[in-house]
Amino acid sequence: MSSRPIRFAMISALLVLPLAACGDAEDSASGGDTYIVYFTGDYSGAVSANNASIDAGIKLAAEELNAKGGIDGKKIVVETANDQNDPTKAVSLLQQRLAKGTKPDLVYPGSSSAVSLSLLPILTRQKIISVGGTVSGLLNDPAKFPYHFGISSPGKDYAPALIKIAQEKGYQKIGMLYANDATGQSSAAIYKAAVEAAGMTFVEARFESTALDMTSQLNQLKAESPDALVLNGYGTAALYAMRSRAQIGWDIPTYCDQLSSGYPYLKNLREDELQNVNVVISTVTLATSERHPGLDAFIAKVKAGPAGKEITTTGWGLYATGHDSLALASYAAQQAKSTDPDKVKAAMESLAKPTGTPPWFYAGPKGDLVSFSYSATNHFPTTSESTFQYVGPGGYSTEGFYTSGKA
Amino acid sequence: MTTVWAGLATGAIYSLVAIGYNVVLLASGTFNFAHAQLLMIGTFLAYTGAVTLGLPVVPAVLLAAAGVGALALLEERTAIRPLLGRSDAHGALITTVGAATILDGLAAALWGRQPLTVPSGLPDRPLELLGGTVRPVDLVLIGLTLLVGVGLHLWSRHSLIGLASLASAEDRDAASARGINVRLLGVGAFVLAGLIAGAFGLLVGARTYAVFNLGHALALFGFVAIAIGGAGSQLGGLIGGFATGLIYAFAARYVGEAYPQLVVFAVFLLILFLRPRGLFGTALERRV
Repeated sequence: MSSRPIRFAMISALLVLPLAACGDAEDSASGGDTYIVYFTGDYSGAVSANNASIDAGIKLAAEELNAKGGIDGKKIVVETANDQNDPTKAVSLLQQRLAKGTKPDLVYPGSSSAVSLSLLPILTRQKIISVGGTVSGLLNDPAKFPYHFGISSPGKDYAPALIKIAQEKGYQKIGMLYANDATGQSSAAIYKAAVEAAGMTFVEARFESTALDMTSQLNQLKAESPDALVLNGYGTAALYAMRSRAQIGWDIPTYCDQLSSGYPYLKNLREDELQNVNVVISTVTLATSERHPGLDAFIAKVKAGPAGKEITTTGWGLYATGHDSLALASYAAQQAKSTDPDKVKAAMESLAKPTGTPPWFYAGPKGDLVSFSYSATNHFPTTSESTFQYVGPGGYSTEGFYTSGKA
Repeated sequence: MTTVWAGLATGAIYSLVAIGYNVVLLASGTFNFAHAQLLMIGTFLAYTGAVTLGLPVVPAVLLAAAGVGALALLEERTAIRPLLGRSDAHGALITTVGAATILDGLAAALWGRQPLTVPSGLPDRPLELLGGTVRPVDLVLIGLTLLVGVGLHLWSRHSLIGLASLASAEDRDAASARGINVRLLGVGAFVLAGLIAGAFGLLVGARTYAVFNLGHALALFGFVAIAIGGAGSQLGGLIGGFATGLIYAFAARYVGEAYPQLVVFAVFLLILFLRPRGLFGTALERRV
């Protein structure tokens, strides 16, 4: 018997199968009595520790909401996918998942902006609500990605904390040392705009990822006599910058950007190498800040869970990112009285501020530190002047609170 | 002058990579792309000795040297030896790149992805010297690299084993016919390169931190260093490394902080065009 028809059938099936995932939103609907949360993240690669914290937060929120009857009467089921922080793999896994027929009701679209950006066109086509903690400005495009909402503050929200200090101290010229890559350039553009808008002068120097020393770049900046320095970079880049700064004896007031602030400097540098260095931190993560009434119980559950040991590395904030994503989606569904994506989207864009304590932790006990006042043109949260503040370098306590001076 | 010190200290590390490339290249005719990774493993072993095991400086250096020497021997046995005698001369290039990838992964799995501070045992406060600031560890690194580079150059020109290496590099078959054990020389070269890389792990790590992806940048600029200095010339590799470090530092300071890498590669291309054998390489005569 000729094998050509069989081959033809197999090839046709292979061609049709992926296309099935690209169908219209009306092709299928999510399960009747379950609310499916699809979390795609890096479970085995470089950012798996961060991913484990977000994963734990989502699962704790699901547990908490299921105990109260779920979302719109539906039981929450959390599905996970290991995309290894690879956009191509994330797209492939999502398409495989969608090919199964039932759509997720909510997607947490990855641990990096690159992964989120790769998934959003599919999620938009499928009309699936997504809430994520990735912060690239490209994600805040309601015209292009109408069903995506950010849960974390974008990079530009960190700059006002610097401007506030600069104005208080009377700085006239701000220098910035940053990585010559997409992240560094994006951060520099944000700070340049903020500094110049405040009437100050901005000077800059860049470093390559291959740099083992930054004394040349810092000497170049020093020659411009800035009043303060902003630093971008993570890992060895941040360490080389700090050590080179100390080597040339330049104890200029130094303010780390969002990326650079996350690095545990005290584990690798001496205190005298960090003289006049400040990191920007969410006010809510400081041990001295007023606590959300549910936070202590949440932290206790986090610590008792399988990802509990990561709390001293990531702080409780990253667990809250996962938790708050689901809490926010649940609140919007409650407002919409439905889990229909169009109704939830409409509810999100006119979200009423919760009365009393909000069901999410990261906005603080009064819900005023981060505001989810989304609109048809802005799908990212807004912050106030007190959302972020500069403190001395430190680390996270066993409860996940940031403590200056603690390694 | 601080820019000069910074360039020399970074250049010393590039020189060490170039020296390692040349030791193996001269004796076995193989370009060991994994040598920068051996230096990286040296920084981690130095960390293990000095911090995890709490050893004093000398035993920590010996531990790192022995560990990396053994690893280099293992690399020669598994990535190079099975290919000897094959007509395809490029196979070893691929297997050493494979060894480099394995070493990167191994370091990340064993020691993690966060940089680790390697204590040098020397005072860490910068010194004022000749109008610039420099850390004591950088001075020692520069001095010892010069010493090892010049020592290897003299050894390769004046000792019997050094001359045998040169003969082997020029023509393995002829060297073998003259009674030189070229296989043993090849193994010895890998071990020697590993011992040097490991012994410098403490000083290099004190400057760069021990981090699993350190090898990438070092391999690139180490290659530029031997291309500038001349493949097969220990003195050329030494000077090429320092020159690369200085060009990078001066370009970052005076040409434009965005262009140091471009300037280094522009010099590299210029030398390839004007003097393809490098500044200290010698042209080989070949009858056609």
